Amino acid sequence: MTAAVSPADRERYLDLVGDGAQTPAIDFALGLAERGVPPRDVVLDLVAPTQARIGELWARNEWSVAQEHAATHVSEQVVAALAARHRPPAGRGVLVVACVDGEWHALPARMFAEVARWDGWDVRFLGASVPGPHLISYLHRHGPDVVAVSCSVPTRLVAAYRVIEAAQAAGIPVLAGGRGFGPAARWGLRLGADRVAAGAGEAVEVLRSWPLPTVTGFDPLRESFVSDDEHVLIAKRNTQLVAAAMDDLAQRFPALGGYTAHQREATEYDLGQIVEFLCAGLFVDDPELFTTFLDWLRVVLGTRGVPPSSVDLVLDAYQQQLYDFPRARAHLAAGRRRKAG
Amino acid sequence: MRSPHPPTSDPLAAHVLAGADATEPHPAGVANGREGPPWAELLDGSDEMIFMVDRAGFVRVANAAAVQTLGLAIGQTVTMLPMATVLQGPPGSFELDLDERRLRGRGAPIGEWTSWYVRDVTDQVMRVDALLAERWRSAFLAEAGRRLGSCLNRVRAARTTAVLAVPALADCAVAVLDDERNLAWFRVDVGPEERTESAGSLLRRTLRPDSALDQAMAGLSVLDDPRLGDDIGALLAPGFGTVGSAMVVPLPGHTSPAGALILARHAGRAPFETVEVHLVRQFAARAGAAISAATLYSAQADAAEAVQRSVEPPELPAVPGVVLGAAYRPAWERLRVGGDFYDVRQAPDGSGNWLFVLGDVCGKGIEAAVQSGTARQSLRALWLTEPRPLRLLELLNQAMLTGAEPTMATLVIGTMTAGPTAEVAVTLVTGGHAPPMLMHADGQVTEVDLGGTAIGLIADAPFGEARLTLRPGETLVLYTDGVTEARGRSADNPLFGPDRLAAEIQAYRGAPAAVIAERVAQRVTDWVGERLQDDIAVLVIQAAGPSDAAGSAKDSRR
Repeated sequence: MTAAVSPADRERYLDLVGDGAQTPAIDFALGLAERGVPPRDVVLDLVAPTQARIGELWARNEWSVAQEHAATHVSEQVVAALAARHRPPAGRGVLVVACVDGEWHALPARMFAEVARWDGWDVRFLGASVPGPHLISYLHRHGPDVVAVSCSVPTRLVAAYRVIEAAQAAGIPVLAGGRGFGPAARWGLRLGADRVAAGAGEAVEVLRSWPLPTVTGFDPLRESFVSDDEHVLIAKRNTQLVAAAMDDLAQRFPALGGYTAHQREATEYDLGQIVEFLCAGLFVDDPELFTTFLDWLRVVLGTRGVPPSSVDLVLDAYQQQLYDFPRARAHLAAGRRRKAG
Repeated sequence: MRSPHPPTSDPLAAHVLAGADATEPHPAGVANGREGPPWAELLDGSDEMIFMVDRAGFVRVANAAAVQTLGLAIGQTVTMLPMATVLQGPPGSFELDLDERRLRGRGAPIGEWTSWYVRDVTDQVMRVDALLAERWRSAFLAEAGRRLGSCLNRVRAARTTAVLAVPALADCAVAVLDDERNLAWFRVDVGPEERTESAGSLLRRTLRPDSALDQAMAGLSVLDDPRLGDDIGALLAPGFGTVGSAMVVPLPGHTSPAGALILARHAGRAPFETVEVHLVRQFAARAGAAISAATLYSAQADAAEAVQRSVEPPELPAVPGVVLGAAYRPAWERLRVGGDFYDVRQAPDGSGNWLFVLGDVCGKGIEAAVQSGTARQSLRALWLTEPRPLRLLELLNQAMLTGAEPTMATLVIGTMTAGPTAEVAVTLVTGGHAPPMLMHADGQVTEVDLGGTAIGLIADAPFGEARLTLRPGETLVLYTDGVTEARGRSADNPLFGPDRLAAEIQAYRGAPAAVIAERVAQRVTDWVGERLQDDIAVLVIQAAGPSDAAGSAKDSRR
């Protein structure tokens, strides 16, 4: 008697987490499980899609950032409650789940960890932002069968790459997952992960059909996939780039003069984010990373009364500054074109 | 050079030769005897074997080298020769082994005859083979060093050892880890169809004294000993069959062998040669070093992990009538702990009184973490007998002053008691710590200024105390200076400061304590940009409203 999560259930759940109604949300999720919905489906078909909705609602400025975080907090408690209530079988092997260094979005990894646990894995969930050396030391000590690294934001891909490399050097095969690894998690493959998965459900399926190697063939001398070090050099110049762009904006966008200190800081933060995503895109050598981010940023700014054309002003400022970075200029140009087309 | 004329005793040859004489061109100057250059002497002087075979398969010309090395005779039919297959085929290049010699040659048609040029390349080939074998051994050892060198896990190092050994060194390899009681083993076996890996363990006391394995554990190698089969048979893969050649070598450790490696070859495979025994020893040396390093590392890491566990921030307890939240982010360190700490403990007398503390021990990393753990433990012990926060702080100050390690710390200690009217009575004391922030129901944020000096400095330090009542909708935020003193990444590296903190708290009015705590920590992390320079700890306390009184019980740190 397997029941399924209905669209009405998702609407109800969204309302509950939107109100920050923790206890009712937990009761609702546990109630679904009691009615015969497998806990894994409660996580994958109720909590996960709701989290995606919440992100959209925030981007469109329909929810405040505080509401978004309160809702996420409720979802975390829901997953914890489901995990406490439904004890898993065991026997598939030891799986370490960790968010890469600087990745503080723990919920996607947590959801995967619980679903994998219900699938029979002995899961060690190391939580958000696991420093690389800590993770590697853990892997050496406990010698798990596989390590899953979660990355929700592409700006952490450099950290993800270091961890993938080091885990393989320790002889542990790596599964890379999360939205940060891009469409179908393809940047995970580029970074050398043994397997990739876009979401928690897919990741569990991948693990099921993977004859795990006991010793990975890792070559520490393998050639880097990055043809140049533009992403490193530009990341180092982040602060100067932002300062130059702020000056540029002040001249061409007079409204900036009337900004409060808080608004200026928020603008500086956005400008810094643009540089970080540019670097991430250069690192995996895929302009789509940057253009996807800009699409999202234009929506976020647009719904908050910031003209999307201001993004182009920033891109122009960066173009000027980065005159001797051919790949960066190509990515910036792609970002500019995207808006026109 | 023998005469190209056939032995007269062979009429068939004579006939053929007679016919051939009429139709085939003879090498100039040879056929007609004494005139012209001395071709015969010239060819006899060559190391290369040179001879000619006619259309019918008879040797017609052969130089001295060909006669001596190949045993050719003029007029002989090539079907009798060991290399007949080559000579009867079409002319071309060939290479073959003959009586432990490697011959390389080529045939070229000259009219209807074929001339053959053959070289003895035995020495050359042996040199190349030896070079290739040496190169293979170096590559194998390099690969082994690379794979084993990056492995700091004992079990995995042993497994890698067995994996590398098959099929390169043997058809079945068993790596056995030495231990006082249980000998864990890892086996790789390559059968005709598949490669299998298995693992198990055996009791050390069941080892027969002076058995091969026992000897190897004592540092002695055993090679192809007649008793070896009995000793290792039980450890080899089931169905391995007859052992052709086998050896058991120690895996050398730092002071004593880290284990032993058993290698066995099927009866059909060549036995271990001297050079291979040498290779096995070199391989075993690398494997033993890797296993020993991993063992040493495990011991150290065990200790570090025990320390880490003892100082990790605790799960927040469920406090009736109170909503708690906390966030903890250590400065980037190998260990995820630092000098910041927090704790929440129930009163031992069941009075419904709770202790909370948030503090910062000077310093960073493991030393600071250990000190903060000590401070936390001292406070827990003192809390068993002393319910007054101010007195607790004074006692803790004395304890730290008399400790072996001089430690300075700033902290906020408080007690909280939920009353019957959803209000929480809070008493706060502090020694030199950043003033907690209080968000009122209208969103206004004020500092709770307490004064006082840091503890661990002077014996009768003055400490500040304040009492307040926390009502539903109000939020008390305790934080360490890692929050307000975080330096931003923009050009002039501004401090995060109390104003930004207050604004951040205000922006989260109405959010549960855990969300506010996490948000403050995240905001500071974003502010810093890359790595936190100092630990961050945040503890948030709210009075549970009537609606979320039940929910508070399920609230936790995350």
